[in-house]
Amino acid sequence: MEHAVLVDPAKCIGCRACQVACKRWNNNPGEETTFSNEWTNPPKLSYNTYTHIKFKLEHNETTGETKWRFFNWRCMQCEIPACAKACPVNAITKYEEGPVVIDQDRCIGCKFCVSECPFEVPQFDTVSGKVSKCHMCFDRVPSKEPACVQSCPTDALVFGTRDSIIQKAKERKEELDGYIYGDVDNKPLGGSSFIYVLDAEPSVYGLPIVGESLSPTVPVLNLSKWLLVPAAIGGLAYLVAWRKKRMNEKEE
Amino acid sequence: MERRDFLKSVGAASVASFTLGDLIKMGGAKASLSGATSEKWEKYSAGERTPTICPYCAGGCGLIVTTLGGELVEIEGDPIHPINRGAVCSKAAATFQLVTSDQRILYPMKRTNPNKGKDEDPGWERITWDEAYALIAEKVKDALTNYPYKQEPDSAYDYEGYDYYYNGKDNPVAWLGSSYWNNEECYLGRKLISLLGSNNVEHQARKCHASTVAALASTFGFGAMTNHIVDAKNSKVFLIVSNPAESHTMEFKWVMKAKENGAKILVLDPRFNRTGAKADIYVRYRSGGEASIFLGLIRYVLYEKPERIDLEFLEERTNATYATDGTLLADWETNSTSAFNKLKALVADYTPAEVERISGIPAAKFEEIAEAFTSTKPGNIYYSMGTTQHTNATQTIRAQAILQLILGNMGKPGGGVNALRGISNVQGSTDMNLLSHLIMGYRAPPKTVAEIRRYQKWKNSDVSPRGGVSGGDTYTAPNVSTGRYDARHFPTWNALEYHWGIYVGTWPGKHPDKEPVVCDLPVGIGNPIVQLFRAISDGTIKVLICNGENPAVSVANVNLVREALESESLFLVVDELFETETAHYADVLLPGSTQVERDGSITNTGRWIQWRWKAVDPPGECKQELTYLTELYQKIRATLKTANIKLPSEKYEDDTAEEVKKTIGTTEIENDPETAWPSRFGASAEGVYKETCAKSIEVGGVTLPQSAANVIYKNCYDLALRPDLDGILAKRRDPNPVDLEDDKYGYYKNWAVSWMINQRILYQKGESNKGVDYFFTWFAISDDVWPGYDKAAIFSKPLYKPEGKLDTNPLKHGMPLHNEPLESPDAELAAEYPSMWDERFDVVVGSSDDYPHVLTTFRLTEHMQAGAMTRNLPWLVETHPSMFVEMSPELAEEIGVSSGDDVLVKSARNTNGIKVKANVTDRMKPITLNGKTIHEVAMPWHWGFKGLSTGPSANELTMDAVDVSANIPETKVCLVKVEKA
Repeated sequence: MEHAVLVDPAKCIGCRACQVACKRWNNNPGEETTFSNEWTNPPKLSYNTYTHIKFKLEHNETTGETKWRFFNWRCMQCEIPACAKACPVNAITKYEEGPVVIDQDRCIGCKFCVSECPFEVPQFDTVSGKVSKCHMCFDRVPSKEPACVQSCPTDALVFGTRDSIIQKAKERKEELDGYIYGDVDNKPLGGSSFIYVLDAEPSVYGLPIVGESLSPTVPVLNLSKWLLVPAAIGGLAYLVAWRKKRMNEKEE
Repeated sequence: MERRDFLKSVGAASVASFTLGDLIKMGGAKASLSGATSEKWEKYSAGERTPTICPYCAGGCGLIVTTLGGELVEIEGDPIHPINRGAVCSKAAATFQLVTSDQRILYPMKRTNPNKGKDEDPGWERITWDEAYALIAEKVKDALTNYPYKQEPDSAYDYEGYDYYYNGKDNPVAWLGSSYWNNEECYLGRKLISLLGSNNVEHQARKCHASTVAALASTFGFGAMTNHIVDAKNSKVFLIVSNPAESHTMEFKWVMKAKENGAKILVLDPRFNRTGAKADIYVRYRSGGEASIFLGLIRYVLYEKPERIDLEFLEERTNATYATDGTLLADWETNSTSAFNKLKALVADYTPAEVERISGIPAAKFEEIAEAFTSTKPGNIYYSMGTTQHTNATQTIRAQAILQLILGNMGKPGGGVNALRGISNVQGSTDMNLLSHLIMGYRAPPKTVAEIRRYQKWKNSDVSPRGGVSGGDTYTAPNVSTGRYDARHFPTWNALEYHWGIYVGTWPGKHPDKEPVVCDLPVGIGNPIVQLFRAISDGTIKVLICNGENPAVSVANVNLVREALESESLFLVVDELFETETAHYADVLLPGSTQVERDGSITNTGRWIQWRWKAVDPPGECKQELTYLTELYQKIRATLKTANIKLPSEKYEDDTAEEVKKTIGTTEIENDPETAWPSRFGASAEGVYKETCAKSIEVGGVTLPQSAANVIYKNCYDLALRPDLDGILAKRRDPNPVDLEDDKYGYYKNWAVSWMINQRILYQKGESNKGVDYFFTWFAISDDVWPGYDKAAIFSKPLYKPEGKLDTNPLKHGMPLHNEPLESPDAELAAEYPSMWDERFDVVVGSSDDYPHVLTTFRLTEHMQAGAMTRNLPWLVETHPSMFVEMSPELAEEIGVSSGDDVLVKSARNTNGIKVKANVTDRMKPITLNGKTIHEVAMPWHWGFKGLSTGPSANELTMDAVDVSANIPETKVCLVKVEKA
């Protein structure tokens, strides 16, 4: 049965238990970071950081009111994952229980998923030449909640069947006079297995507006796998190079 | 193990090659996780589970340790634990890394470089435990050689010869720590140093809640959090002068639960923090203005909203109805001499305008808070270091307590004055009194020979066999006040005589006023923490055994501490997990064990006494603390004997050829500390636990009364109730309620045990049937009047010692008032509200002309106290990798600084200043104080120069003046100057 996680930033106290619990369960090392004025640290997701807490401070000089938002950020686990669709070697699978998982043995480090994810979640590692991201604790769910959810002291992360989570999200939306992101009000890529209930517009939290369906160019990348048949690695290498070039052009 | 090793195959698709099917696959039906697994999950699901309690803060959260074949697999939140329900904070989540850290010390080591500077390499050389013990014992012997055991007799007494006891204060051997230890280890630590004749024993509690103990004990009876963690869910309004979202995360879990049920959260803090982020009303104030706020709140109730005064409660359960000379007044509500009306007169001046002038809280904002808090019941006050670490801290806490008394918010679910304690077992280590002025369960050590003579008479007179002399001079209390004192302390001295195999009294005991005193307990209180390091610098203290404590980071004005630790005359022993800043100065460094590597009980901030089961073996030669204590004691004792250094009673026997024995019933019992070590109930943690809380002990065929070594733990062993747990109630793990009340309020009376007598909400009438549900009024009002139990103190005489030193205004005597910090940013306020600090030793004080900015210090969720247990863990270091100072954009602009710039922060204690990163943030804002704009800055105090993440310590700047009642340093406020580096 499909499961989901409700992310409720209004309840989050920014303790970062989820961030550390994730590293512990996945045996990911701590990163070398530097001072961060806004406190989000590591500042971005990385190959060894599947999830982190984002800190956002707002101050209104006129009213004198200060608002400090904390929220958990990681892979949304989309229903139609762009990463999986782009992957030329089918290393990424969306499971019916919710998780979107990268098979590390299959990953060839082509970074198609990195470039196609609208949330900029998958992270490439130059050492191993692989890509990683949050996998919704595929090895725990659904019998045991994800490590981040278990660790949360204030129920800012709640795990349950998708139906029950949608129900909870709707109730909280009423209380907060808020917004559901991931389903109901906004279904990025067909809806996600991590669903936010927000007390403000998604843009306030820096969440991108993502279409409900996949960009038609994404599956084209998947078709590159046919290059494997005649050209095996060579063809793919060409494609990787081509892709990289295109990305560089884009950045410029 | 590499993460990709276990994060590999998913289900059947585990081959790293491509099949035709894969190539064709493009969408289609989704796969099922059924059968999906990882190496971690395999080990986890096959592993063995052991419950423990988190080693970090005092929340007392349960953790479950999973091991497989001795290998540590996982440490996670305990899903059935009533406090955390499986959740953790970032620190608790990182416990796995604490245990497995490659930074841990694995072997005993000795220093080879005699120079001890901060930048010196200690030149560690690995030694054996036996070599380490021998080195320590030899140094203890050298220090105690010629330390006088014979004292000139007091001329007031009629006999010839000498008194036999060690002076507890000048003893050259000192002991520190630790709140990270289990109760049994703390108990033995206090016992060990006492048997060396020293009361130079301190630990973390002095620096965090000494003022709480002084203020709450003198008001309510016990110096502890009155309610407990889960009880927050019963509150309707919170007044929070603390930062529980960060420092006590699981406490805040329950505050958030209450919020979901409509409770209001009011947060007062000089800086907007993660707690303030969840507040209904957040109010900024200037550090040092706390007392004025609470006095203002009392005034608000008494003058503006008198209908909110709980008159019935005041009359029944407080001494508001008495005059300060002890007269009970029927017309107390109107009689101007009643404590109630004296209080009313005292607080009259603390109007919202005056509170604004002192604290910087705009009057309208103050009234908003006052209305929100006093209009709703039950209201709950949470406080911690922001209140306790001031020279007038005891007064502020007294004011909080009085506010809750007049509102009738005491002794009920959702109410209380809730001191949030900092370290996992700081409540237990305080109960075991690793403190220079207390010895066990908040009992004083003997302070004078007169007390010991009274004690001998008390032993002689009691109908029960207490080891006195039949037909000897008997006891009558000289007055009510002294009688109260004796009744409180003597039974514990008596229990320690039997448990420790020592003698306290006169010999032969028949005529105590005409005989020499023979006392194996050290006499006279020792040096509190700040003075202790001064006593090291002046050469009085020559050996310091420091366990699980890091004073080289944690003590105010740490510059002087480090100077003391560099003293040539000092031999420093450190038992630690990591090479801390203090360990850096050690002569001998001993590898301790983590909390999951040993058995024992700990007491959380809400006084729940819970058991930690050992889950894994300590690595390398790391030693369990219980074993270390026993081996250390035995080696020291044997070495001292070779130099003929013994207990005073043994020396008396040597000198007089008499045998000092106790007579119990008809049996003579010889003093014998050897067979009494570590406990009368065996050497295990369980054995020592039983000794601390045994209801009775049989000596010489006689069952002795009140013989729990620590009287406040006396209910915690009950064989009849739980034979399956061998009577160790701390081991109970049943989260089910005992009755409807339990279910409704969340007492969890079947879970572990709490002191006293498993009463979960202190002073709640009718909660327990054992006669401990009242206020324990220890102190008499005057020499002749004790109001009886259950009279909480609106008026409390014992505060403001040393007497005659300070404010002599009789109106104010015995009641709190505002005093400026020793370094005040405003000369006018400083003159009007002169500081009240212990002037018995000098401190360096700066002026606001040179140091215009106010500094306060704070804690982060991700780091623990002095930092060793978090700055060595990469998972936590990545979140806050460096030391910084928070400042407002306004101040940053004034001094030309941007975020991330290096700034210098200077104080009178450190005129060169420390260099840290500027965190320019709207969390800080200028404050208007007495009409002037004041800039306050804030620094975390977790950093030091050792560990994976290093940085300057905030305490290189802070103030080491102490509160006169509690000796707690004023770490929370001082003056600094911030400038661009």
